[in-house]
Amino acid sequence: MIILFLKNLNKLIRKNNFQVAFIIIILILFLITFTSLITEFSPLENNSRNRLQSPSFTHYMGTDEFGRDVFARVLYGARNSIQVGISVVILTIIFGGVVGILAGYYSKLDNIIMRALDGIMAFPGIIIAISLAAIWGGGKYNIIIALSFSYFPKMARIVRSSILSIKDLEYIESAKAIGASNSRIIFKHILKNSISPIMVQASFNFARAILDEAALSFLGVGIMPPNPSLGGMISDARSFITVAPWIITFPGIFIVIIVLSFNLIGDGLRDLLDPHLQNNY
Amino acid sequence: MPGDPVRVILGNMATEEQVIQLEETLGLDQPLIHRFFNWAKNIVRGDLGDSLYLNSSVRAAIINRIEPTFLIALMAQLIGGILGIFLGILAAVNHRKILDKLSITISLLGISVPSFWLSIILILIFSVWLRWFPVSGYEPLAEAGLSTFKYLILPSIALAFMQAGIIARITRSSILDTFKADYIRTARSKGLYRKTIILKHSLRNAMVPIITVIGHNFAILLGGTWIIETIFFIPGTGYLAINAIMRRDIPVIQGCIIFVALIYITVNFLVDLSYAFFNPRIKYS
Repeated sequence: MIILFLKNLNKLIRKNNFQVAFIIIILILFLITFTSLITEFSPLENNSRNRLQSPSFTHYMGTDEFGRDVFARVLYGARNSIQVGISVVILTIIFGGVVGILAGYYSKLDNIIMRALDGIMAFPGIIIAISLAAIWGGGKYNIIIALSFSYFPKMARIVRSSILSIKDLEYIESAKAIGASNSRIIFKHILKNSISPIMVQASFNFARAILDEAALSFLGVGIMPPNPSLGGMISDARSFITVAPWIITFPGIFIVIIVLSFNLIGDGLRDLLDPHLQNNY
Repeated sequence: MPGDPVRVILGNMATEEQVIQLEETLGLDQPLIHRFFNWAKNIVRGDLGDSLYLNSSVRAAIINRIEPTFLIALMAQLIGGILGIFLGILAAVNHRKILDKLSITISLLGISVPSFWLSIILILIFSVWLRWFPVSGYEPLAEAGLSTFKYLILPSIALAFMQAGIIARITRSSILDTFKADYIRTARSKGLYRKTIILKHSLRNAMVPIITVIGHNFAILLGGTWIIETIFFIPGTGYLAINAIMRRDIPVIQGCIIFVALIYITVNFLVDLSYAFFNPRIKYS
C-alpha cells in the first residue's frame, strides 16, 4: 500500500484542488510562523485611541473594541488553532494507534476494548470535549486532551480494522514463522501498511479539531482570553456586529479557509488511496 | 479549583467549615465509587438527581426544555436532508459538469463553515439588516402557535448547512455508485424516464449509505444545538447544558449528556430499522 501511495503521489500532486489546498496551507503556515515579521502589532496590546477602526492600510482587518489589531489577532489566533490541531492529530494517532493495535492484534482484548470504545462513541464528540474542557477549566492543553479523547475511538477503530484485514495474510504468517517478535511484526509490517487510512482520518481530524477548538473558545471553555483565538474573537465581537462587522468576519473566513484546505487534502488522499472512489470525486 | 461545585456555589469568601458542611449535604464526602454506583442506580430508575441551582429535578428541567431543541433538530435535519439530497442528485446527474462542481463547492463549504459563525452572520443579515426574523429568544408552541417558527428558522438553517454538506457528499458518491449497477442499465434499456431511474432506482438504493451517514452525523447536530441555542438565547436543553457547565451544576451536566447519548442511540437504532424499508433485501428476524 505504501508503494501504491508513493506511485500515486504524482497523480495527487497533479490534482488542482489538492494543489490549491496545499499552497494555501503552506501560505498559512508561513503567515503563522513569521507573524512577528509580517505584522508590527501585538495581539494583546490595547490602544484605546484606535478603537473599532475599519480596515485600512495600517490595520488590514481593522481594530477591535480595545483597539487591538484584528489582523495580528487573527494570525496569532490561527497559530493557536493550528497548534491545537497538530497536537490533537498527533495524540489521536498515538492513543488511537495503541488502542487499535491492542484490539486488532490481540484478539482476546478485542471485545473488551471495542465495547468500551462503543461506549465513548455513544456520546457526541463535541459534547464530550465541551464537558471535559469545562470541568478541567479550558486552556490550550486541556482542550487538546479533551479533543483527542473525543476523537481517538474512531482512529482506534480504523487502525483495528486495517490490522484485521492484514493480520492473516501470508506475509505476516511467514514473518511469524521465521520467528519475528510481535513488536517487529506490528511496527515493521502491519503499521506500515495501515498508514494510508490513518493519514486520511488524520487530515479530517485536523479540520474537525480546528472547528471544534473554535467552538470551545467561542463558548468560553477553550483558549482563555486575552490570548487570541479565532472562536474567542468571534464570541467577543458579537456585541459589535452592527458597528464593526469586520471583527467577526475575518476570523470566520480564516477558519473556513483552514478547514476547507484540510478537507480538500483529506478528500484528495482518500480518492488516491481508495481506487473505488477515484472516479467519483 | 475550576471543577469544584461546592466552591462555585459558596463563592470565594466561604470558610472551610461551610465547604465541609455543604459537601456533606450534597453527599460529596462519600467515596467516589460509592457515589458513582448510587448515581448509576438512580439513572436506571430514570432519576437523574436534582439540580444544584434550579430548584428542580434534572429530569423535569430537561423535559421542560425539550420542545425548542426537538424542533430545531427536526427542522435542521429536514432542511439539511432535503437540501443535501437535492445537491447530491444534482451533482451526480451532472457528473463533472459545472453544476457538479458548484454543488461540490457548496457542500465543501457546508462542512467547513463553523455553525456558530454562520449563525451570527445570518443574524446580521436577516435580523439586523433585513429585519425578517427576531435576533434571539423563543416563544413556546402552545402560546405562540406558528409564530414560534420565526424564532427557529435561522438556528435551523445554521445547523442545516453542515448537515446538507455532509449529506450531499455521500448522496453524490452513492448515486454515482448505483449508476454502474446492472439494474440501472436494465432500467435505461427498458426506456424508463431519466427522472424515474434516478428517483426510484438510484436514490432508493443509495438511501442506505445516506441514512447511515445521517444517523452518524446526528451527533454533530445534537452538539450543534448546544452552541446554537446559546447564541440565539433559545431556552432548550443545549442552553440548559451550557449554563450548567458555566455554573458547574454537575447533576444537570450529567443529565444533559445522558439525554443526548440516549437520543443519539435511539436515532441510530431507528436508522438501523429503516434499512429494511429502503432495501427490502435487508431483513430483521
